[in-house]
Amino acid sequence: MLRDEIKEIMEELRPDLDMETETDLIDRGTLDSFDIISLVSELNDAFDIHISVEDLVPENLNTLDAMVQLVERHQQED
Amino acid sequence: MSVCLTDYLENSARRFADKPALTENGGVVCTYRELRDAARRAAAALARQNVQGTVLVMAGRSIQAVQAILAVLYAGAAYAPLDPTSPPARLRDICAALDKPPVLCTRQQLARCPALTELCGQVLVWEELIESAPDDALLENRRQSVRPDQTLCVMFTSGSTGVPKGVVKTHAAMDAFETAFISQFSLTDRANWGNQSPFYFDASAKELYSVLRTGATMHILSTGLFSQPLELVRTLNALQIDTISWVPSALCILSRMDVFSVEKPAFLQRIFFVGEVFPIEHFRIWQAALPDVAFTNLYGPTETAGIGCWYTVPAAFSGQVLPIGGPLPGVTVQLRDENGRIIEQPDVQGEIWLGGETLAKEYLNDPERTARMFVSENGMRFYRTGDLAGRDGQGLLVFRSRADHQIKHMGHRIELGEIEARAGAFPGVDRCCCVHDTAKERLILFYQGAAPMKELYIYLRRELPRYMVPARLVPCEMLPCNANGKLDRPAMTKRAEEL
Repeated sequence: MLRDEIKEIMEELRPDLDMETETDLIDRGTLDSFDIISLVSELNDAFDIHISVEDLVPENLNTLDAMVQLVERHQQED
Repeated sequence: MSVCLTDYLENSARRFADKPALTENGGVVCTYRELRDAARRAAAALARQNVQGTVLVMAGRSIQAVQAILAVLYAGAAYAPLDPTSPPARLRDICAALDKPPVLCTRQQLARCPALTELCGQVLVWEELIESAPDDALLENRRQSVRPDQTLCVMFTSGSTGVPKGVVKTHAAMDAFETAFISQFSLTDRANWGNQSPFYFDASAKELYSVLRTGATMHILSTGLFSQPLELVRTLNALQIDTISWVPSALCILSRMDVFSVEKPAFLQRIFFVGEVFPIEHFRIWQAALPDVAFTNLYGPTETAGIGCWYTVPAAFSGQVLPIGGPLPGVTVQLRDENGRIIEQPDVQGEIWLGGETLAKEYLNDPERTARMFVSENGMRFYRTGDLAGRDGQGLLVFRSRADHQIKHMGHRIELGEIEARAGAFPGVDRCCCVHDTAKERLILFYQGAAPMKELYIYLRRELPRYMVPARLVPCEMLPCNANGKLDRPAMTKRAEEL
């Protein structure tokens, strides 16, 4: 499932976070710029999508569910 | 009277009293007059409490951090800036190296880190200091006491044994650097700087003192902006930022995300990059997007004030590696062979030795290392950088590699041995090896032993600064060794690239 795959990517990137309970990942600075860049490149590779710079706003990355929606949107559009 | 860097602020506060010296988050402004007043108020309180020696300053990305640094200098003391989000182990090591220093922090920082009370000799709370009365006579007295070789700051850098080492720099060295730097690049009060380097990072000093001396404005960019590249570019434009000095890792965030196809920084005129090699494919994206901007590569280890060498990249540059160029005025740069002899031939590689007035004074409490790394010859002091370089066809210096296991990652210099020493201290890590995957710009730690990966990661986040925490932890049955039983680093580097 898409959600599990994204969760797995995040767990590899940040083993210290429990993605089921984390919120405001960007707004609180839990994910820093280097996490974001790694995450985007992992998501692009894993789902063959192209996340653009305009997608990098807190609404799209603050929670696991927001990330799932972002990837789903791209899978439909790309 | 010998030089003191608070003179920069004194002069600029006279010339540009109501001009913004610093801004924060786009909105909060601190004029030169306000900066001077806040620093001098707090300094008077420090002087009355007889604060001396080196003060640990919790220095985040804020106007307050600059005010605190200057307060310490006005009080005639030196500062050691520290990331307020430092892991506890780092704080403990640095406090031990400084032998229970006084610490200057905000109320909030103290609440977040109560251990400061135990680790430091004297806890100086910013909000209390700035409430006290100014005392011009007392500060004048402190100003007069500043000696030519007075310590300005102690900057901590990664140490291969697992303990960070302190580099002691003087007012005179930083002043010699700023004189050369400002004149070389014709920096003036009209510059609008966009600050990326936090004030606990060595690279920020050259920028901060340039701004204060020329009377320019520094806009402190918040960390969060670097997670939102488009917002970052819009902020640069809204603030009309024309000068930046960033680490290539930060510049690469913009080029990697292709932000220029949506919006370009419209006001930039000069980009300095410093701290690590700028990957050429990313440099070309920047240069193509901003053809009228001057791009200058700066090179200098923590053991000098500011930088030693520079190279402004011509529009027609077609090489594969950006040279580090040649020395700033007043700096001597030489290539030496293994026996310390000067290399004259153009095509022979050697170690970079830097000499001149801008060198650091010493390593903190480490005369043996100081004597080994800082050598005097015919009345000139040299620092042996450990950086291996050659000269290209035009005689420009080109960095090739390190003579040891020191690497550059996210603009920070890191001893892989420090990461290995920390990881090796974790129960269930029998042996480990950290390698730098330069292609993906990440650190990978291979380890042997029963330690669970998640616990090891959490431990390393607590022990090491963020930029030293490996991106991947890879448990192994057995680490590869060469015929002599030593860790086979090349084999592991290759494996890291395949992950």
